[in-house]
Formats: sequence, structure tokens, C-alpha cells
Amino acid sequence: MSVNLLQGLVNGILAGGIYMTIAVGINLIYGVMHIVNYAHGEVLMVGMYIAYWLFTLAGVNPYLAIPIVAAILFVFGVLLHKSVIEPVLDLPLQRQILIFIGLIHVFQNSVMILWSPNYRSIGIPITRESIRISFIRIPIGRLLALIIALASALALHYFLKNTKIGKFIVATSQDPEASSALGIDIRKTRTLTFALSLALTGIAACTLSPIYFIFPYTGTGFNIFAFIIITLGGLGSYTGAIVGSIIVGLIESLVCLLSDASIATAVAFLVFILILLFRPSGIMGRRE
Amino acid sequence: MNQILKVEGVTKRFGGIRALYRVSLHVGEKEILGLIGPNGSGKTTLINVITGVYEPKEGEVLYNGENLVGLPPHQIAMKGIVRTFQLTRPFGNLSVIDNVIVGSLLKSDDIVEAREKSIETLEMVGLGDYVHVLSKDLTTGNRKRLELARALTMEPSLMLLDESLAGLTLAEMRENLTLLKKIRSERGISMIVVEHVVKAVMDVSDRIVVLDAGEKIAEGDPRSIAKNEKVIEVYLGKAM
Amino acid sequence: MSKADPRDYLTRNRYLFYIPIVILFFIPLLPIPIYVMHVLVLSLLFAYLCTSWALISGFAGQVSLGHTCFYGIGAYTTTLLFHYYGLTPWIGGIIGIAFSAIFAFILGYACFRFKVRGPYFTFATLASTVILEGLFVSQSQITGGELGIEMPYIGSPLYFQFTEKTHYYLVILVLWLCVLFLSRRIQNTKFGYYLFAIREDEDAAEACGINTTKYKIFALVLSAALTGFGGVFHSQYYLYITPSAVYGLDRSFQISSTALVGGSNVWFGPSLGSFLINPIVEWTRATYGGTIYTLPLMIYGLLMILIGRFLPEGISGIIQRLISYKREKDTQKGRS
Repeated sequence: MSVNLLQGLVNGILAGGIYMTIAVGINLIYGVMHIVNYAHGEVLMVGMYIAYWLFTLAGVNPYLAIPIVAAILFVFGVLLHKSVIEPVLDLPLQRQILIFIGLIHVFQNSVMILWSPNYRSIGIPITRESIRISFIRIPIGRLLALIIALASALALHYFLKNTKIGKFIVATSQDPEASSALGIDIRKTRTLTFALSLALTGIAACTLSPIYFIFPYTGTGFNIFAFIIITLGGLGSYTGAIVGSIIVGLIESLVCLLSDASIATAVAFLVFILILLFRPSGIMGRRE
Repeated sequence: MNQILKVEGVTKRFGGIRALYRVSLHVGEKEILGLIGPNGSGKTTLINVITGVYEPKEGEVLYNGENLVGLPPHQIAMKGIVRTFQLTRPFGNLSVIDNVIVGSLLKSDDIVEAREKSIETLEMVGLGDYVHVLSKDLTTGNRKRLELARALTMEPSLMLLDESLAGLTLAEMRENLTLLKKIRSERGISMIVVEHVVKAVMDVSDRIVVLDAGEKIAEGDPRSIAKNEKVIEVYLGKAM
Repeated sequence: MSKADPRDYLTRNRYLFYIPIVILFFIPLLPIPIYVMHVLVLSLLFAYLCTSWALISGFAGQVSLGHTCFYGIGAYTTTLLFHYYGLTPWIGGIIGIAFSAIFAFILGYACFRFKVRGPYFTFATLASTVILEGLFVSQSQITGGELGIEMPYIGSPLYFQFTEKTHYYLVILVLWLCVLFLSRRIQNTKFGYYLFAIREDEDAAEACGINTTKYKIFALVLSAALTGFGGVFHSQYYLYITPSAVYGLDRSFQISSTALVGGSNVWFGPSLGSFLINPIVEWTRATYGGTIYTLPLMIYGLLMILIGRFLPEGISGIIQRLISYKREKDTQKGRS
């Protein structure tokens, strides 16, 4: 029993790492521009397709494709931001939502038209193998995803704290007016942040493409987890995203573990309500 | 004179910054109190404390004897203290008349009655021709008048006007000052007028309180304030 | 209530309004194919749902992206109570409305009471509907899980079941008209004005003496109750519900986007959106089906982006601008 529990914990942490990447991307955009990218999961989906085609047509290993996909999504992010995001940045959510729902439809359906709704997968044999530590199984694919997710989170943290551009981003997120007065180009910073967030998603897409099926609606699932994580962990807080990811990952694996899945989900629901009632801005969220 | 508002020893901190320190003042019935001081001296913070937006660390805000500290802003408005905002905050996508109706609904539940009162008030402040204009399309001067109209229809006994003259032309300023005096005499409303344009404040106030770096440094009638050395120093020779 | 007052215009031109309504009631007398009747029912149901959604998300500006959480509570309450206890859905429906309202109160209290700003409410509604979907899938012993649960067929109006689609049509028609008039009424009362103020500027609204928390919670509870009853109707119309059908994000986004395309700040906006979009969507689905169906959906997505970018008030904004233009011309004529 305790072995199963340990395995469950391991699974939970691995899953949490995966969801964390999405949450970090959303938080990055929100921190700087106070806008939530509701189509973030769809961006991930597009990234996964790019990784798939690079693999299928050019034989590029998805892990090696990381810089390529990240670069493509970065450029895509710049274009997307300048065309549809920037004009609605300072409007209330009510006036932004249509753009995001529209983007979701456009992404999902253009992918569907181009490449059919068939499930695709990238087969990299080693990712199906597992490392064994005593009785615990750690699937390599998921482990790599977690490691790369943590690495990119750390790299992002370093970038924000120690590079000039990174500090500009932080400054803009804290006080756009003052930053502007100090000569920081707000528009460029915002575009950069958005594009960077998409690039991060590209990295995640590559690590996830060998693990998950690739199909037009795969983004929705990730979106959902990201939103629950953010509700639980708090918007705009990195620690919150990590904490929330681990909690969601653990709950998910415990659901699989316990013979009575129905109790686990019911407990999850209760936990959700309680957190809403007593810490409505999330466990680590900032109260605005 | 009956003191309707008494602020006693109010202190407010934001993290390490001391925005207000043991500030006390009082406003009497039908009195216009001018509140001046350089940028960052705590004038708007004081208004926010009085109206319940911020809670002070210590001190009391007594309104007709009742302590308002801890009450939410909407309740304080219901009790008769009303404020305007430094950077005007109209309900942008609502028309001018609808903006004022929102204010007058505080005292009347009936829309028709509220609308009639609002039109009257709009005529009084000089916005009679702009009734159906979208409030976000108004000029700054007219926005200030809209704020005033909206505040007036709430039938307050005390109005806190935060820089209601900023951004106006000289002519507009004179008009607004006359309007304020008219409001005081016709409706018997007391006011705290926060202003940067010191000459205007001198003109309209019965008494003046001067803040600097969160503390009250002077209080008195306009003439004596104008001669007060501390005040002159704080303004670094700005024309009085 | 922004640029022009459609009420004045419509009061003077009452025939514009009442004739179409009367006509709508007589439609069942025409020889209409069952499929068209189905499309009508769906369009009316969506018009009903979108108008209810707009009360909290349009009028009050608190955007809910997971409104289906209330829809599903209504649908499952009715279905389960009938399935296990034989309770007539008329009463089960009322209980469903009550549960929706209670859940809305909890959600509203949590999100609004502590003045938690930002998109927290939006996230909370999103998370709610998703978690509820998961919950109802997992409790498969009670709810039938992913495959859903059937409503036993009785065919009697006593049990909110009708043999003719046209009867369902009449029911949803009445529901829609009620919600439509309610929305219009709210728009012209203190409640509506206060909601608009909250939407525009919450701090300024507080300064005007508005208890923003109270009004937001009330608008949410009202909207949730109405939406919950929409779920009740769903369960009685289809006689079969699944978690993804009633809690699914697809439906939730569809409600929100349809309302916004029509225009969520005006009482007739969401209905306009529904009657424009739903027939087209259903027609393409019927005519083409399969993969070709996705092209219209992609175009719809582009349309949404364009409307979001250039027509923030939705399609109803165009109508309002026409009315206000006409009104200004009348005033000018009056002056000269």
C-alpha cells in the first residue's frame, strides 16, 4: 500500500510539472499585461503539431526541435500580439473575451482542416521506458518533461532577475507608468513578454509531444488544468503556480490510485470550494 | 457653529511610507474648508480615509458624532458624505444623464423622479445641452462638472472635492468657483475643497488647512495662511 | 442604456414589437419540418440562456466563462430526482433552480465579498464547471458517468414531458419572452442602473452609495437561477444528459460568445446573437456535417475576432447607433 502511495506521489509530482509549464506561461503574460491568454492551451496544441511534423517529415527528434519550435512560436507570438492582442489590452475583460474565444475556434479548426482530427503520436522508444528506483517506476518521458519544465522555469527566473530586458519586463509589470517615464519601451516589452510566453509553451509542446496524443482538441485539456491550477494557486504568483500544479497533479494521481475514484473527485471539489471561500485569491495569490 | 465633521489624530501608513500622521481637522455647517499642500502631502489619502476607501492605523473620523472608521464607502456615502475624484471617473459608456441618475438613485428609488432631479442638477452645473452625450466623450472641464452634478444629486451634507479645478481654463475655474459658492448658499452643503490652484482656494474657502508630508502644518483663515512663513516655505515661493 | 434609449423608440413604435411576438406563437400551426422546429427550439433556448448570462456578465460586467455549472446543476437535479424518486420534474426543476442559486451564492460570496478583483470570478466559474463535470463523471454509480443518464419516458405534461416538439417550442418561447422582458425591465430600473455603474467603474459606484458586493451577488444568483431552469428544460427536451453536454466548456463558451456577438449590454443583444448565429450553425451542421463543418466554425472564429476588435458593443451596437443617430437628427430638426 505504501509503495502504491509513493508511486502515486511520484506520478503526481511528474504530472504537476507538466501542468506547471502552462500555468507559468499564463502567469507571465498576466503579470505584465493583466490579461489572461485563454487560448494558451491551443498555442500548446499548435506547438505539438509543429514538433510532430518536424519529426515525421524531417526526422527531427522533438527534444532537439525545442529551439526551432520555440523560435517559430516566438515569431508567431509577436504577430499575434501586434494584430489582435495589443489593441484590446486596456479594455475590460468583457470586450476581450470574443477575441480569445475566436482564437480558440480559429486554431482548433484550421488545424482540423489542415491535418484532420486524427490522433497522432510521436514514437520515441526511450520515452516509454522507465527508471526504476526500488519499487517506484518513473517514466522517462515524463521525467524529461518535468526536468525541462523546471529548467525553463529557472531560466526564466534568471532571465527576469539578471538581464537588462528581464528587469524591464519586471519593471513594466509592477509599474508601467514609472517604467515608461524611465524610458522603457512599454509596447516592445509587452510584445516581447507575450512572444516569450508562447516560446516557453513551445518548449513544453516539444517535451509533451512524445507523451500525449496530438489532436486538435488536446489544448482544451491543458487549458482546463491551467485554469484550475491558477484558481487554486493564485494568479500572478509563481510559487502559487508551482504549489497549485503539485496539488492538482497529486489529486489526479490519487484519483487513479484509490479504488474509489468518486471519493477523490468529491474531495477535490470540496477542497476547491473551501479554498474559494477562505482564500479566494488562491493560496498564494495577490489581493488586488 | 455646529461641527459636522471632526477628523481626530488620523494616521495612515502604506508599508514604510507615512502618508498621514496624526492629522486633525474639523468642518462646520455650511463651511467651505480649503485643503492645500504640495504633491504627495496626503490630501487625497485623507479624503480616502474619510470616505472609507482606506482604514487609518489610528484616529477617528466623527460625523455628527458618529465614528465612520471601518465603514465601507457606500455606507458613508449613504450617510451624506460624498466625494469627487481627482482623475475624473465617469461611468464611461453611460450617457451624461444616466451618470447623474446613478447618483440620484441613492435618494430616490423611482427612475422618473431620479431623471427629473438629474436634469435639474445638470442645468445647474451647465451641462444641460449634453444630456445624451456619452460621458467618455466629454472634455475634462465638462467631466469635472459631471462629477459635481453626480455628487450633488446624492443630496449630501458634506462634499469632498478632490482637485475639481485641475485641467480647467481660467474662465472655467471662475465659473466653477461661483458654482461652489452658489451650492453652499442654496443647498447648505459643507465642503472640503482640495486644490492645487492656491489662489482659487483662497478665494472660495472660509478656512484653510495646510498639509505637508502627511502632517498638518497650518490652519486658519485665508489671509493669515497667505502670510504664514511655514506655508510659504513649503510651497517654495509659489505665487500666492 | 448607453447611447440611445431604445425604450423610447419602441414605445412609440409598439407594433414593431408586438406583431412578431404574436406571429411567433402561431408558428406551430404551420407545416414545419421537425428539424426546423428543433432549430427554433435551440435558438430560443440559447436566446434564453444568453440573455440570462448577460445579466451578470454584460450588465454587471462580471464575466462568467463557466455558466454551464448552473445549467448542469439544474439538469442533473431534475433528472436524478425523477430517475430515483419519481419526483415530477416540475418540482424537481424548482429544486434544481434552488441548488443553482445556492451554488451561485457561495461562488458569489467567495469572489465578491472579499473584493477580490481581477479575473478571479471568471476563473472560479471556469474551474467550477470543469470540476463539476469531473465530479459527475466520477460518481458514475449515481450519475451514469460519462455515458450519462436517461430520463424515463412518460410523455405526460404532468411530468414536464411533451409528445410534440411544438409543445416544447411554446414552453421555451414563453420562457424566453419572460427573460427578455425581465432583462428590459431591469435595464430601466435602479437595479439595472446600479449594475451598469458597477460594470463601468466599481470604485466610483461605491462612492455613489452602491453596495457593489450585494448587487453583484444578487445579479449572479438571479442569472444562475434562470440558467439552472434552462438546464431543467434541456433535460426534459432531450430526455438524456451527459456531463459533457450540460457542464461542457463548449456550451459555456458558446453561450458567452453568442451573447457577446449580439451585444451583452442591451436587453435584446444576446437574443439577436442567438437568432443570427444558431440557425446558421445548425444549418451548416445539417447540410455538411463531418470535417467540412469546421470551415464555417473557423470563419465564425474569425468573425468573432473581428467583432471583438471593431464592434465592441456587438451587432446590437449597430442598431443602437442607428437609433441614436435618428434621435439626434430628430432633436436637430426640432431645434431648427
